[in-house]
Amino acid sequence: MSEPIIDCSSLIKIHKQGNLEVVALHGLDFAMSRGEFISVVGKSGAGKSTLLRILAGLDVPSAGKVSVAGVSLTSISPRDLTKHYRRRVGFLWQDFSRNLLPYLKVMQNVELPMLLSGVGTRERRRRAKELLEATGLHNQSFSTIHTLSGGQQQRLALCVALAGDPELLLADEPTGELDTETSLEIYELLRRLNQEGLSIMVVTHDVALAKRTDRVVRLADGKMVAQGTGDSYPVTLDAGGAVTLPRDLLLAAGIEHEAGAKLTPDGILLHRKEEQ
Amino acid sequence: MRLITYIGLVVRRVWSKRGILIGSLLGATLVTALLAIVPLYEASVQAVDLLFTVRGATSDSVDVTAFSTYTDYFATGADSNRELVNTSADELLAKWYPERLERTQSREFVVIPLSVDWYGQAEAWREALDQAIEDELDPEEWPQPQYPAPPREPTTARIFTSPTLTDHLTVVAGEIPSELPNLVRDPVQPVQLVLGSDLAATMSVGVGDQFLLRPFSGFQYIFELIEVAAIVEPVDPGDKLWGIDRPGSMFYMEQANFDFWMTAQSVPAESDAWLRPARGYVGTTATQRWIMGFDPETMVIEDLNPVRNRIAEFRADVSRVSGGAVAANSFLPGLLDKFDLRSVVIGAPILAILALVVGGALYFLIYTAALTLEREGPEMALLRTRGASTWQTVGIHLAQSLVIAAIAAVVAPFVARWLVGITGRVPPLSDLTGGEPLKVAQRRPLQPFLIGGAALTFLSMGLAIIPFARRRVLELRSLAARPGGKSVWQRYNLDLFAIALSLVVLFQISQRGFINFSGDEAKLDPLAIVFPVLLLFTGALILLRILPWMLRIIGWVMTKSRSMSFALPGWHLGRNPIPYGRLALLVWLTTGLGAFALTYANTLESSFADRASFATGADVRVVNEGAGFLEPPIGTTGAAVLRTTGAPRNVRSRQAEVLAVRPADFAEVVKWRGDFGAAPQTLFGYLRPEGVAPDVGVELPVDATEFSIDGVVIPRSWADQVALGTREPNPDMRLMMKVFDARGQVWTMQADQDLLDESWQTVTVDLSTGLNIGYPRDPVPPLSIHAVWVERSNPTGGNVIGGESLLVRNFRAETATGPVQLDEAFEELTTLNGFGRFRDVDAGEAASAYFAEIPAGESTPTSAIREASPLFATGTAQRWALPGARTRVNPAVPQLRRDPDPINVLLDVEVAAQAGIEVGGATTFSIGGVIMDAELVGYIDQVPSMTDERTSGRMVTDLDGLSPHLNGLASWSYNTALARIEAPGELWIETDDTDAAIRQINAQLPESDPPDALFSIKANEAEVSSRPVQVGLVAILFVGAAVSVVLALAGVTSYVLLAVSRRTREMGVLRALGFGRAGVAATFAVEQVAVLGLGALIGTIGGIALMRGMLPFLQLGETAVEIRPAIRLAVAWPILLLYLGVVGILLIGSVIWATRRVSATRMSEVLREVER
Repeated sequence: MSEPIIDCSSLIKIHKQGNLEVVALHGLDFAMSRGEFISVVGKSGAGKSTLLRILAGLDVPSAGKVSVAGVSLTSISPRDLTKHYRRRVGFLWQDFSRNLLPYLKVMQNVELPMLLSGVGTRERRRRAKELLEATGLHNQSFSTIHTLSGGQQQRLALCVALAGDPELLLADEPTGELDTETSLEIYELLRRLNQEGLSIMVVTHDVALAKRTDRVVRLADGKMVAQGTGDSYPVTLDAGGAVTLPRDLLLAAGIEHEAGAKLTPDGILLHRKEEQ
Repeated sequence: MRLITYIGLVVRRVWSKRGILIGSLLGATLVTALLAIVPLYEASVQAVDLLFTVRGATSDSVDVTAFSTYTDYFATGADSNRELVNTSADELLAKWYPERLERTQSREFVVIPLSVDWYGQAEAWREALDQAIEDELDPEEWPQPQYPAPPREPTTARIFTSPTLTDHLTVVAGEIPSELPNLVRDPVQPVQLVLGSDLAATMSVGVGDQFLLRPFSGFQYIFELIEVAAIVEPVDPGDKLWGIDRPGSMFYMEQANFDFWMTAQSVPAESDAWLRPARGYVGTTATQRWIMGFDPETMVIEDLNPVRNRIAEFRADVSRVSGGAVAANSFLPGLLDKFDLRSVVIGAPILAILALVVGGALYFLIYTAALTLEREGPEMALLRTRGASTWQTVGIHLAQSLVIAAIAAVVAPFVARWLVGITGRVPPLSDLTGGEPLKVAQRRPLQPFLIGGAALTFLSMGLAIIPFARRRVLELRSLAARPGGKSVWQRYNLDLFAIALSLVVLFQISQRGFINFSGDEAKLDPLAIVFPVLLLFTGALILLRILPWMLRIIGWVMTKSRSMSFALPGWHLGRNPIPYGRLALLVWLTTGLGAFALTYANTLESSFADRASFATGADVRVVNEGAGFLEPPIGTTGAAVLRTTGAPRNVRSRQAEVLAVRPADFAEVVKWRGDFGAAPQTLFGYLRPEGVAPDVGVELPVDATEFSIDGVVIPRSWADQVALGTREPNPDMRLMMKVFDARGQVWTMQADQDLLDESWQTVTVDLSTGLNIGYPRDPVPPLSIHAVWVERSNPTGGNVIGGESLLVRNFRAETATGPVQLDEAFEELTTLNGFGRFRDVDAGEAASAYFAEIPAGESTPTSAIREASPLFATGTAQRWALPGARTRVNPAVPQLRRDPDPINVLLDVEVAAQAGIEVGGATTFSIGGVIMDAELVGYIDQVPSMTDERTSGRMVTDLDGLSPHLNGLASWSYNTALARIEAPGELWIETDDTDAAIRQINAQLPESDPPDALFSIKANEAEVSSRPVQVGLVAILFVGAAVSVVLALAGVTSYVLLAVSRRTREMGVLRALGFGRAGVAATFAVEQVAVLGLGALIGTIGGIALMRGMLPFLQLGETAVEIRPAIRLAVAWPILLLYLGVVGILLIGSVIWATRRVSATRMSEVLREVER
């Protein structure tokens, strides 16, 4: 295994809400290799977004260790944090409109991170064009944001997140507000970028899309409870041997009330019950 | 290149947020403009004020006068001085003083009627002298006196001349002589003199009449025979050429004639009856005066110092060149000094109020900047996640602030000029500008103020980022969704410290006052300017402290409502009231400024009214000689008032101002304010405890038409009369009376015929008229005979008494029902000044005296003959005996008189304390120069119209009680020049129609003799309240209040919009729970309105409290003299409530407009927001 781009060890995050303390991450141990494309799934409150924000440097862990690209985020200085934003990670929020500055045009939005990083004008323009071409937005370079569709805006947001040429792309529900077709387009784009060497971590509820990643990590109660490849869905067995499957997985499999289980060389296969 | 990109980013950012930043730009522009207004408004209002000041000033106050007094007038000296003054004035003063007048007035000359044959006496004297010379008598034996010099007589007048005399006179009769007399050809010709028509009427002379005229002081032999050449009237009696004298009561000569006759002119001594070798009034004291008339339209604000300097130069110049012979003076520099002082004094409130408005606008700026930043939180978070460093984030915000500040600095001068201009259209300044925009003047450069304003606004907006600069991305993202918590001030209790510090500073200011005088110069205490800002700051901190508690209480009350639209906001308010502080503060500031402005304006207005009422005393106050006797206009109430000075005699250092009034009348008309003391009816009622007018003499029946006595002058003996010539030794005696009528008019009346030493006569006094001239009406019954005396009926050239004795009796008043005997009543009159009264003498004494000595050759008459004499009478009579001569010691006529009673007085406490008397105590007073006993019956504090700065105390007494003291002492009627009556010179009128009352008063007076002064509250109020600096202050306050409402609307709307977006989730939940759109909107609106209402309530109270706090600072009036009566807080509740209502409607409207989003948002969108 190559050097991990993400390395979390006993990561704990406790949110304080008044006098109430909520444990979002409960001693999470997790690592991600460079060039990997993983998805993080789990119920609401499982700690997915918290993990993503900590990795993005938007939040700090309460305890434990976390490093991205070899830089520890546990006690990072403001100056290094800015570098972190500029060079190491690109971040994609779920609400695509919040990823963009509405008063800037398409090209300017892409150029903005580079402008802030001090990249020269020519280089900024070159890189922006490259990204826009890669995402198919080059024809809208000088359009205003509100003329773009949702998918285009999210692609543009992706351009902005990648403008600084980050090592790691973190995306929080990047397709949450998009239709299926557009979501697939975005995932195809992410896959292409991954194939070009970009490490990507996405948080998603969309099982179908999660299956398209290299690895699916399932969080529950702030811990990683299972992980698997993209075509295998991680599930948890309780003490009695019962398995709770996500409804969308069941729906995708066409299983409604009853199912059959069959022993295979790889394990147990759950399948639709044949009609009598 | 990168910089340009950054600027482009900032500009795009500003442009994209123009909707929200417009509030910031508005506030920044306002702050900068308000600072720029300081020099503009100061100069503009000062310019108006200056014009107003110099226009409103009397010409005496602004003209330059130069004068030279000659004890021996000579034409060449006058010419030389004229040239000097003209040259110097042309050089130095011509710009402001285009008009120049010159006049020369002599001292008084005495008129000597030719009723005595002075020329005959001179001829007799010359003959006696020639005879003495012929008889070679020793000069000591020559005829005495050396000259038969005419004596001084009472009629005096000055001789007046001017190089432009004829331009100012209209000839009524005759012709003004223009040619110089030729004394060589005709050495005996009289001096041709022109008389004013009033003087001619007094002297009863016409063109061609002659009389002698001699200087009042000077050698006995200097007199001239005068011939009246013309009678003239002034073209304009108000012309400043005439000065203080009545132009109709002077002698006039053309300048050349004046120069001629005031110089010795040699004539042959033989040509003169008195053998004088020269003619003309040698040694005449005269004053040559120049009046440089000020033209106020030439005065501009920049001339303040130049005009003062030129006047000083002119004064020095004429004095130096003339060797001190010509002195010059002007009150204009003093007036301008006062103007400067007023600018400083009034400048304080202006600056303080501007500081208040600037402070409020700054708060609005910071508030808007903070709101903007909160709304920008997610954007800042995005920038941070895109790699913006803290400094870059801050820099972008600062650059944005800089752009706004720069735009504000560019726009501000125009806004400032517009605002200054528009104050001219705002009442009450519009009254002065005629509704036109105020002409903007500028004396100082604006740039420092603009740069200062831009810097201030930049800092105010820029500093708002500081609390956000170090926040983490997630915190920034949540700014727009979560309301803020406690301020830094409260978190560390810094507010309590600041409040304590502010209170200490405020106390210091209240002790020091806001004007510091160092020497003659007044300077504004800089602390005073920040005074309202400090109050505001302290108030804001206190408000922020207590507001949460108040909101919790209000919230708790609201939760008791059954309506969820009330209960829900109540819960919300009670749960977390802190975030509402800023909203409440904004409303507090707005309504506070509005309430302050309205209360200030009303208080000032009320004070103007009070000051006008206090200065005037009644609705209308007429001041004129004898004005108290005028008939009050129909439908009005009038009160006669006599104003003089006086004090207890043991208080030597003070002279109190004295008002003598009729208590009941005065109490009815006087404008009285509650804090002056007891009600006027009560207070002035003390002057007449019994409620009746004092007894001033023998009261005649109301229907009495005549008063008669029988009398005879006791003659010299028959033998004496034969020896001395008929009747000369005991002349005819005139019966004179001093009578008070019901209106207090003091009449001098005389009998229709004289008492003679030939027979008993019945002499009758017509009670329907008197000798007094100028009284506007006939005697008003009932009349009281106060004094009775007798004097010679034709005293020309001699004494008015000479030891005569008379027999009198049968004092009676003639009425419709027959005579009413008054002998007994006359017993209450007492004798005075050597007047002898002997009762019950034999009425036949006159006959006895006549027959006491029989001429040689005559036989003693028998008793029958004696009793048949007209001098004889039976029964008894009174004998009146007169002293041998009037004395210098006591010039009053010997008389029978009703001794006036001691008077009652009201005194101010200080004078009473100095005199050592308390209520009920009595002492001797000197009032109007007359000594009298008086009892202190009460204290007074302030009495309207008693504002004479030269006096240092106040006294009020009963007019009818005082008048006999001042006027009761009969004086000689010598040459019919009656003693001056101390008449009530004022008539105070209570009326509903001032203009009509004034018209009626003027109608009672001769057109040529308008009242000396005519005050009305209406005019006084207009004058007082139209001081530009004061009305300018009100105008700027109104503009400030209006602007603050606009700012508040913008601020409240921004706040509510942010709050709505923050709480969309909450609203979504409510919608999901079944609340309708309107219900949710109402819930939200009720919550905001509750906060706004509380803020408005506190603001209103705060604004009024601020005004109350400023009152002590306003007591110092525009000329740094304490305002009388003291300013009192006056809240205009109807207008204030109207203002609050309008502001309330606007604010509620803005809340509803801002919350419309709640009702407009679709359910699906709301629920989607909930899911996020």
